[in-house]
Amino acid sequence: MRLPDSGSRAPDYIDPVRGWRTWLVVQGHDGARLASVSFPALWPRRRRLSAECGRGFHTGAGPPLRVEHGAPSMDCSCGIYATWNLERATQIADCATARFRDCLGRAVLGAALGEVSLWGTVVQCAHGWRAAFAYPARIYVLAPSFGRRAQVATGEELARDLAAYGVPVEALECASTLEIRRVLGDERRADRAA
Amino acid sequence: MEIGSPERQYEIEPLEEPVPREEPAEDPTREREPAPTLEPVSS
Repeated sequence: MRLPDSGSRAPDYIDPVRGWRTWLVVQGHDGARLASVSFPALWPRRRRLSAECGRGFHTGAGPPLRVEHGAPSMDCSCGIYATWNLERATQIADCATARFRDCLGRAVLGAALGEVSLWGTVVQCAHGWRAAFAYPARIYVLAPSFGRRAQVATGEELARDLAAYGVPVEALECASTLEIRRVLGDERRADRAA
Repeated sequence: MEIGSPERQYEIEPLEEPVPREEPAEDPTREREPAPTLEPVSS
């Protein structure tokens, strides 16, 4: 007997994946907003970010995938990125803060590092994940001294604005990637012990 | 971000999406509902 194809299947997991990523903090119409570093996307407040595949925006090693598909796909490089490796995320933060002055026509006010929840279709990779849906889980605003660039606003001011995302936000007074890894590493150990 | 080669794909469907709900904005112009008037109970 053949069961009718309902077009849906049971999920493999019910707990979202948590990974690290870096954001630019940009000027929004009503306060600071998070934006992706390598793709022109603003992160909405209190709504999930959904991935779409911009065909032709292929950054992987193979040829661009020409067929339309849902993001993410194993055969493409699309999806919302995060890494399990805090060291990689801090390196991106270091580059991003030094490199960008504006994003999507908005002034870059600073940078943030944080944990993000990922769900929906998820492609697990060697050092992280690409997912269909994401929302920040914890945001650390990086200090103006980090990344050797002048930040327009203080970490505390940006943290107050970013509280509109409804998740824990903290200004991180660290001047180097090494210091960030030490501080966040200590926090994670304290969380696990609690 | 460089996250290496894909290894496997799966579906995650949380019971509740990890997105904080919108906080209801307080409307100062809204009138409070009057307290209900209690009828005297006959004994």
